[in-house]
Amino acid sequence: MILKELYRHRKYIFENALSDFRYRYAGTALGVFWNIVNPLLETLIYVIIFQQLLGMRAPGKGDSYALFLIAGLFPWLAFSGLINQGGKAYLRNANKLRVINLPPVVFVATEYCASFIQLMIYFGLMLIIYPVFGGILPGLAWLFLPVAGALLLLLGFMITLIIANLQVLFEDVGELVHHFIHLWRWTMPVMYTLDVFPESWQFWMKLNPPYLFIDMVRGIILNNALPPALDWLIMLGWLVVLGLAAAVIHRRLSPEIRDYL
Amino acid sequence: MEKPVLRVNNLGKRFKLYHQSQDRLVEWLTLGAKRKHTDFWAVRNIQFELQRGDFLGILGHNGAGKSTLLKMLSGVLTPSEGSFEVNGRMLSLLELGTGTNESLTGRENTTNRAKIFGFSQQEVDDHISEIKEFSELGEFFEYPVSTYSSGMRARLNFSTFAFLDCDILVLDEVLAVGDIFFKQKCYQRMDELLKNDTTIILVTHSVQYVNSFCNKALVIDSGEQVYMGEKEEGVRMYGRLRHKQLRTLDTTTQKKPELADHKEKVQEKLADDNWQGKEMEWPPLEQFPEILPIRRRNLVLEQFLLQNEEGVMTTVINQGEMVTLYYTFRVVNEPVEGKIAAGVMIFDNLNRVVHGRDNYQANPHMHLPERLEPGSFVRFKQKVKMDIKEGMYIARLRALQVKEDEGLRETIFPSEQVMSFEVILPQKNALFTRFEGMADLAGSSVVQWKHGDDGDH
Repeated sequence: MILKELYRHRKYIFENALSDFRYRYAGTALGVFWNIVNPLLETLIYVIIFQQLLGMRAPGKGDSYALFLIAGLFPWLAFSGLINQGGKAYLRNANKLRVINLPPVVFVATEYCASFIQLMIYFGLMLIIYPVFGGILPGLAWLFLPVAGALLLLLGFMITLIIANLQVLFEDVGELVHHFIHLWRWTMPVMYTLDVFPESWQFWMKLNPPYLFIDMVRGIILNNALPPALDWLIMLGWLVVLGLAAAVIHRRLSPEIRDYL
Repeated sequence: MEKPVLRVNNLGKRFKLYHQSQDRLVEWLTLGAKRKHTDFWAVRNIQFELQRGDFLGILGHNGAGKSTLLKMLSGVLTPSEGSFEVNGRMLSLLELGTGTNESLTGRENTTNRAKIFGFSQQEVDDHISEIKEFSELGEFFEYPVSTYSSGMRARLNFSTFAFLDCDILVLDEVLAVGDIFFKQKCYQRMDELLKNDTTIILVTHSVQYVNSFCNKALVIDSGEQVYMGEKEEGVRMYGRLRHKQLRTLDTTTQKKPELADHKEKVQEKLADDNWQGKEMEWPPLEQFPEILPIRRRNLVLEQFLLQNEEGVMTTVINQGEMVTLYYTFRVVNEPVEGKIAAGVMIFDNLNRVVHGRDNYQANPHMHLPERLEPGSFVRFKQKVKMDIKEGMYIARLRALQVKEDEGLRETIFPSEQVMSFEVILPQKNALFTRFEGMADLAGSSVVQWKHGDDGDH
């Protein structure tokens, strides 16, 4: 059902995502470059606090903390940006949903595409950063990066679809998500390394839904390696569970939410 | 008979109203065992069929459920009960400009919009030049919509819709904007569409449009289908709707027992047929709509009724028709000192007074009481010939006390809006218009002529 709707309106989705992206910073001198200013600034702050002040080191010997951080932080920013923006997609497009017969899921998909473009720009940036500053040359596994990014955002899309539906009916959901997402990033080893936890905890940490997806991206970039089978199984599990949950909730609520827009 | 292009079966939309959003959560957690919402039927039991080439006008006051109905038909809202069948392709223009991407050009927006409605690139290419030409946007068609004026936006939107092939075109009051020349063009275009067997559904407040352009009318009042059928009867039915013209009695505010008690006493007095003054015919009590009494200073308006020439209560009046107004005041608290004078004032949509005349102005020598004590009633029957331009008007009622010895006219019931009405042209044919402009001034013309025989051409 959802897939059929998305396929039917694929062109509208792509074009909207592109123009959203293109015109988000329209009129500013730096234009599209603002997209990378924010992640670079965040990187700078974390490097100062964790590496310089707290003495955090990357897991591998001699690896730079900054390079470790960027590989995880950038995908997280794309993921959390999708949930933040996409969660509000129905409310933001209420004026359209009130009068145009477009399936609402189209607007969440638009956010998915916009986030994907954003992530691809981050990857592009990494293609410069890693060889130049870290001496890490892109390996064969890097070819898998777009797929890994798409999967990470697919998980985000499912969560976003649930939130977007709920947010129309419960105003508190918006606030909840806004605050929760800040806490969420600290519950997984993105800014810090997994080995700060006791070994017995480490497996459970991996169950945090987006973590293994982010770790997959990081593994490709830093080690030119794809995740082991167990990781794949857990990721697949999350995609199935959240996918079903999103489908059920969307199916139940989408006829009703337009009544309240 | 041909298969109807649209068949609507018992269509209805219910909204669940919650006081707070938490209430919904409570319902969910108890799996619906605990009911926290109230149902509100915005529109219900709608049933009609349209054939190819029909032009349906949907009439109804604000909040009657017209838009909800259209939204269900265009797929924006999911019906709560009933169903409808469309045989063909339906396009709906519910609001101008939404879904328009400001940063894209007119051409790109037109293409996008067409794609949303499922048209292929080929179909868009076939029509894009017609759309451009009709919209009169010229080179602006290639500029971003953000540079457009509101009139230009309206033109772009309507053009997009009028030139894409469809079987049913749904329009919601969209022609309220735009300049007069473009409107004219739109109606011309709609005529062409109808000739090509396109079915059009138009929602409007203007009885005049329905009267001049539609062949079918659907009248909705408070979510109920009041009438569906030929437009003449539909227009008549719409005129008789009691709602919102007058301040109708609102049952929710009439719960206080003392008010109900008081109401009975007044009704008793009104029913009692013992009046002083000139003899006149007065409609029976049950013909008056129940209104919330309006009190200003020492007068309370207890009754108000406007009837057309056939003696039917209406808000739609043919141009030149003689209407009769009936209204009754009750005197409270202070007496009316001097002769009472009351009359209806007609205002146009720009709030200009078109006409007003009270009984004292009509005849200063009329027999009237010099004083009316509290508890007195006074009632008026006034005739007005509606020789005014077609359009929407508001009737206000005003009362004064005329102190002849002091030469004073004092307002004791400041002009209070009692109803809105529309004057329509009974004939569509331009040959039969009786005058141009705002008002019919009395007058006549005489003509003489001589035939020539110069033959120099």
